[in-house]
Amino acid sequence: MKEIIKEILSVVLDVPMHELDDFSSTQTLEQWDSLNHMKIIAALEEHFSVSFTEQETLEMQSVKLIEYTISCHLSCPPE
Amino acid sequence: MSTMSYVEIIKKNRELKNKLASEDYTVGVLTNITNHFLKDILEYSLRLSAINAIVEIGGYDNIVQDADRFQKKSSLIIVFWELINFMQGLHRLRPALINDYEAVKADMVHQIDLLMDLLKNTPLIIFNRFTNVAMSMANPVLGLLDKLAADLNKYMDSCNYRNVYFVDLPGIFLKDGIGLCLDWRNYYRNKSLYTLCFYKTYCDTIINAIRAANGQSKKMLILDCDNTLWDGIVDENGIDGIDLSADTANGAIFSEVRSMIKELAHCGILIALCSKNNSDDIDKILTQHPGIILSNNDIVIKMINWDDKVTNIKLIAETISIGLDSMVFIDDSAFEVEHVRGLLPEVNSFKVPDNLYDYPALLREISGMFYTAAQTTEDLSKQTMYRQQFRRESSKREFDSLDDYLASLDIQLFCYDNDLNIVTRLSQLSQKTNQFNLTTRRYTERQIENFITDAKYDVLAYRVKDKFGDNGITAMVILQYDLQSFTAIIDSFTMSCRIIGRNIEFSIVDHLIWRIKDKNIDQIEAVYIPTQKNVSVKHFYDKCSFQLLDSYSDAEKRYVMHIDNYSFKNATNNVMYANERDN
Repeated sequence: MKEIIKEILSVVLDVPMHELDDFSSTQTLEQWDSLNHMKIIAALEEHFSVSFTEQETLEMQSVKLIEYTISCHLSCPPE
Repeated sequence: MSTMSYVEIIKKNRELKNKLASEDYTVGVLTNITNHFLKDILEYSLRLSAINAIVEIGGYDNIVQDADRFQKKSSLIIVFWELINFMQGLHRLRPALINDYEAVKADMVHQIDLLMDLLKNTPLIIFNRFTNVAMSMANPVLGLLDKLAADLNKYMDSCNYRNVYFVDLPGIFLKDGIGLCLDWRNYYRNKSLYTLCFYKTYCDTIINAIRAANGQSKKMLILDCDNTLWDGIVDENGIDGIDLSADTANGAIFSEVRSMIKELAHCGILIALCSKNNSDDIDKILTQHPGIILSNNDIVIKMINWDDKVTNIKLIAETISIGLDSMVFIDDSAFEVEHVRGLLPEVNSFKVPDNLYDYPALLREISGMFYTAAQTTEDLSKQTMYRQQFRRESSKREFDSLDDYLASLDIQLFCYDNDLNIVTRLSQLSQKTNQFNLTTRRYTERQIENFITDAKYDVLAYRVKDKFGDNGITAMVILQYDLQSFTAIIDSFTMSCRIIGRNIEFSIVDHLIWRIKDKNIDQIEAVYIPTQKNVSVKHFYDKCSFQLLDSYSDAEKRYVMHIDNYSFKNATNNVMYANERDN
């Protein structure tokens, strides 16, 4: 799942995969602004067929947190 | 588009951007909400059609100011003007409407006028009709917003804009379900009202209008007969064994399909039949069967024989002189459809759906591909003109030489000299003509009007008649004069493909020279700008004995000719002016 999340981030933010890790976040990536955050959330929801609560969308600010939130929805533990 | 994921779209869009060499097609989006999902989805769907779109989303709630900025550079402007965010939100709009409905409406009308005036020269505006569907109240008495939407739409309709394509958003909501289209979570936080799903369907909806503006609308629908126009196989079941009634379930489906085809024909879409059958049988059905709905008058050309369909379709393209990429083909046989798709990928080929009840919906969808912005007299009489063309082609075979044949046609040319009454047709010639188009410069009605009223330009249009009938206004030349250097420049020279091959282009050049001789002009300049489609006119100016200037690149060919050196193809100027003598 982490790889998929990274790939989605890489495409939406136009950042190479190898520059992304668990701790890539809105703080470390300049491109991850509020507009792109909206795109990331929409792309993740579409890919995983889930719908996040507003609170979740506000919290999913790093690869790790995204993975955690999605795994809660899919009821499987993070890798 | 709806089957592709957003991430896939973004990725593929980037790839295509680097591949397409065509000129940028600039799209500006004016909006009072947040629309950032639209950019990649729209760019990708246009780039798939080889339209190299660059979409710029305007600032949030900055419609009029952005209009001024965009109108200078955009070929297309899309307007998302949402009632929900009028006056920065319903919390203001509702009280204002209660307090003084007419004042709010008048203010909106004023803003609309301001906007549309700024955009009057934009080639195409896609404007979402005002709608209150997203926030309509369950209690129908509370209908002020509905009324406002209806009144504003009515006002815009009354303005008869010529460059506007209106989109009904509720139609899009219906396709996907309104719940999947609206994103309330993002609206209240980011003013982003619509979902990815909405934007994908939205782009599918508007693409036909944009393709039409880029000269890409389809012109001809080619249909198989058995199990495509009716239920059954004539050769096996006999004429009486096929179902042409509207009373059975399948019969009702095919009748509806035939009635739609009749409507398409009525609107100027060329209908052709291509079927493996005995042509006598098909003729009998078309002329004698009471349930057929279609008649020979609706059909431009019939290829009823036992040859393969690829050969037949190529022959249709040749006979009627239209490009394969202007054709749509429908057949019930997967074999035939795959054969055509494989060998003629430019033709859009569709198979009659396995679930027959989906067939009318497919045809309704396909009808969008034939969309053109404005309909002209030439569109409505197209069927007749192409049937005449078919007769011309047939009688050509009876002559020994092409010259003899052309002489026998008794061709007459009528010139429309800077005529404002035919602007719609002229813009259409500029937008839709691909093959005989020396510069492929696309002009809107407004731009044509400007040329006509500008003394530095001459817009000359030609109507062509011969013994088989009237071809309508089928050629146009735009001349620009530079009086200081005593030069005329051919800005545009376009001719509809339906009159190609009759040497009319040479008579037109003769006429141009006769005309400018009177204007104290010494020389005439011309340019050929190559596209994928106008190869056939690559040497046109060479044939007219223009002198090629070698100082320019291979791609673009520039020419000049001193008019004293010109040798006329016709001894006398026999072009008549339409305002002196016509019909």
